[in-house]
Amino acid sequence: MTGDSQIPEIISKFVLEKFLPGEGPEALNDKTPLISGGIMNLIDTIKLVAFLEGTFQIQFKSFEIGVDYLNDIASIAEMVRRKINEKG
Amino acid sequence: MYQYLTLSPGEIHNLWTVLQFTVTTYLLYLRISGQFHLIVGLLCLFGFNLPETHHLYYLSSSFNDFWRRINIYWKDFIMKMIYYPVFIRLRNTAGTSTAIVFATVIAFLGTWLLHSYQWFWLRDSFPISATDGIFWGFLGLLVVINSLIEASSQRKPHKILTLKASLIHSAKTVIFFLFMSFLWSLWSSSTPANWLGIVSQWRHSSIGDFAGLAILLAALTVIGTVAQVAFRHKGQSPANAAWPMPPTAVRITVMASLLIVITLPSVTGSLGHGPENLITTLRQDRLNMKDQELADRGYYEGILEQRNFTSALWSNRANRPDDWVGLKRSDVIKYRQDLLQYEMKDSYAGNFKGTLFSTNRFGMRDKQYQEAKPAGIYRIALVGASYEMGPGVRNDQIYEAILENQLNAANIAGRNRRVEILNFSVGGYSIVQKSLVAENKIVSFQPDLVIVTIYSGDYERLEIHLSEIVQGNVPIPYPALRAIIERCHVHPGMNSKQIRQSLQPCLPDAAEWAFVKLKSDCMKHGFPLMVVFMPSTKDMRTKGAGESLSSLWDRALRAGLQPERVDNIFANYKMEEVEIAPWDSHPGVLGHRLLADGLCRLLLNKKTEMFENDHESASRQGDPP
Repeated sequence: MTGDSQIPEIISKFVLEKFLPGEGPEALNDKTPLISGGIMNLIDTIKLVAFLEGTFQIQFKSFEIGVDYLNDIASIAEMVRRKINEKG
Repeated sequence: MYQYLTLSPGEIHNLWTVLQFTVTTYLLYLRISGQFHLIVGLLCLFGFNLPETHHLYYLSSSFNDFWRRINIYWKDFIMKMIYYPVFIRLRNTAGTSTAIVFATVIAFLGTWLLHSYQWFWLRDSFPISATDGIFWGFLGLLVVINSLIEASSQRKPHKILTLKASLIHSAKTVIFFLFMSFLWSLWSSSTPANWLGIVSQWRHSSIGDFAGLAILLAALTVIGTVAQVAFRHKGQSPANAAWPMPPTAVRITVMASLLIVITLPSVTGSLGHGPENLITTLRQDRLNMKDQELADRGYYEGILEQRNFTSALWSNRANRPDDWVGLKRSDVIKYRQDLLQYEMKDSYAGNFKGTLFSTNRFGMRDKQYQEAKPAGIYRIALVGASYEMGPGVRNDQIYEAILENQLNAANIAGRNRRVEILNFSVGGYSIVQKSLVAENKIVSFQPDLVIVTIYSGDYERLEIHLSEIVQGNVPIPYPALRAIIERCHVHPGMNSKQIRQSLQPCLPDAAEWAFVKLKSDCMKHGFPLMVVFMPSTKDMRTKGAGESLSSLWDRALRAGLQPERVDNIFANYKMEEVEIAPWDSHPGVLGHRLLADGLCRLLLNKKTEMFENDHESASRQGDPP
C-alpha cells in the first residue's frame, strides 16, 4: 500500500513525465495550476484519472473530474487520500 | 465590424466578397465575447474572481484548442453535466476510446439542443435546423478525431520555439481561422442551400483573385511567425519583448479619449457629422444597412428571417412597439393578383406606425379631392413609394402636404389658381409599379404635371417586386419586360434569394423599361412628366447608394427623360433628427420638412418649364410665368 507521503510524489512524477516532458522537477510544485494553467487539457485529465484509479485502486465520480478537484498536485493528493480512507 | 463590414447577400459576387462575408460573420461573435469580458470584469470588481473566458479564440490552431478557448464556462458546464458522466459510465464496459467518442458526440448533441433551448426561452420557438445539425455535427466529429489522436499520442518534450515551429503554428492558425469562418457563416445562414448560394459566388473570380488570396494567407502566416518570434520571451520578462506593448489601462484610456474627442462639438463642426454618427452607431445598437434591409424587408415583404436576427436587430425589435408592423403586414393594403401586387384600401382610417393613417376614397394617403379637375386648379400627381406615403407621421406632416402649402404660398400657379398635389404613392412600390400607377390610376384625374420620385433603394425595391412576381408566377402582360426577366433564367421553383440574385443583372434594363413606359404613357395623355431623384436618410450610410443612383440616372437619360435632382438635404443632420425612430429609417417630421423644402426649391426653379405649355395659366391675366 502506498504511504500518504508518497502520494504527491507519485502524482508529480506522472504529471512531469506525461504532461511536462523534458521539464525538470522545478517546473512543478504542489500549487502549480494544472488545468487552469493550461498544462493539462481534457484528454490529459482523463489520462490522469485513469492513472489515479489504476494506481490507487479508487473510483472517481463524474463531478470530481475537473478544475475543482484536480487543478494542482495538493488538491489531487487530498482527493486520493480521501478516497483511500473512504474505501477503508 | 457590424456597422460597416458585414455584407448583404446581394453584395456578394466574387471570392473577396465571399471571404468578407464569412470572416465578418465569424468576427461578429466579438460582441458576445466582449460582453463576457465585461461581465467577468464587473464581477471581479465585487470580488468574484472568475477564470478568464474567450481567451484569444480567433488564434486557435485546432478544434480542440478552439473548444477550450472560446466559451470556457459553457465547455465546463457541458463537461460536468454530460461529458464526464457519459465517459465514466462507458469507459469500464466499452473502453476509453469508445467512451471518448460517445461522450464527445453526446456532449455536442447536448450543446446543439441546449442552444435551441436558449432560443425557446428567448423566442418561444425551438429551432432544429439543418445548419445547426451540420455545424455541431461537423465540429463534434472533428473534436472526436482530435481527441482520439491526442489520447493515443504522447506529448513531446517542450522545445525552444524555432522558426520552423512558429511558421507551422502560424499557418495552422491562419487556415483554422479561415475554416472556422466558413463553418460559422454556414451556422449563421438560414439554410445550407442559401449558404451554398452565397459562397458559390467565388466562381466569378479570376486566377488573379486566387493568387491574391494565396499571397494574403502567406502574408498573414509570416506576420504570425514574426509576432511569435518577437514575443517569445514576453512571458519571462516584459522588458525582453522585442516590441513592448503599452499596458492595457493606457491603451483603453487612449482609445476612450479619442472617442470622446471626436464627439466634441468643435471637432464635429470641422469634420461634419460623420464621426458623430459613427459614435452614435456604436452607442445606440443601431441597425447596420444589412439589418435595416432585413427590417425594411419586413416592411416590404412582411417577412423577417428569424434565424438571421443579430443582437442589434434583436435589441432594435425589443424597443420597437408591437404594433409597428410593415405595410404588407398591416391592414392598410389590399392585395391584387396582377403586376401591381397591392394597393392601399380606399377610405381607410386606422393606426399605422404609431400615427393615424387615413386614405381618401381613391385609396390615396391624402385629402379628399374631386376626381374631375375643378377650374382654377393646377394638379400635380405625385407617384412615389414609402417616403411619399409617410409612415409614422400624420397626413398633414407628409412632405407632399407641406409642399402643396408651400407652392400655394409662393403662388407658383398664379394668384387665382391653386395647386393640388394628389399623392398616388404606396410604400414599397418599385419603379415598375410606379409606371403602372401612371398608366392606370392617374389618367382620370387629368394632372397638369406628373412627378415620379426615385431613390437609391429603387433597385432593391425592383428586385423584391420582380422576385415576388416570378415566385408567385404572376403573369406579366408586357412582352418587353417579360423578355428582360426571362433573360435571367428565373422560375417559380427557385427560392427567393436565388431569384433575387439572378435578377440583379437585369434590374437596370427593367428600370429603363419602366422609364420608357412612364414617358410614353404620360406623352400619350399629354401629361408633362418630371422624374425627380430624391435623397434618402440612408444614402450617407449605404454602400453603393451613389452607384445605384448613378445607374438609375443613366437609365432615365437613355429612356429619353431629363431627370431632376434634389440634393442631399440630410447630410448636415444627425440620423436621430431626421429619422422617424431608431428602428425605422423613414423620415420623421423634420425629415419631411427638409424633403418639402428641397422639392419646393426645385419646382420654383423649374417654374418656367412647368408652365410653358400650361394654357389655363397663360390665359389668366397677371399670372406667371
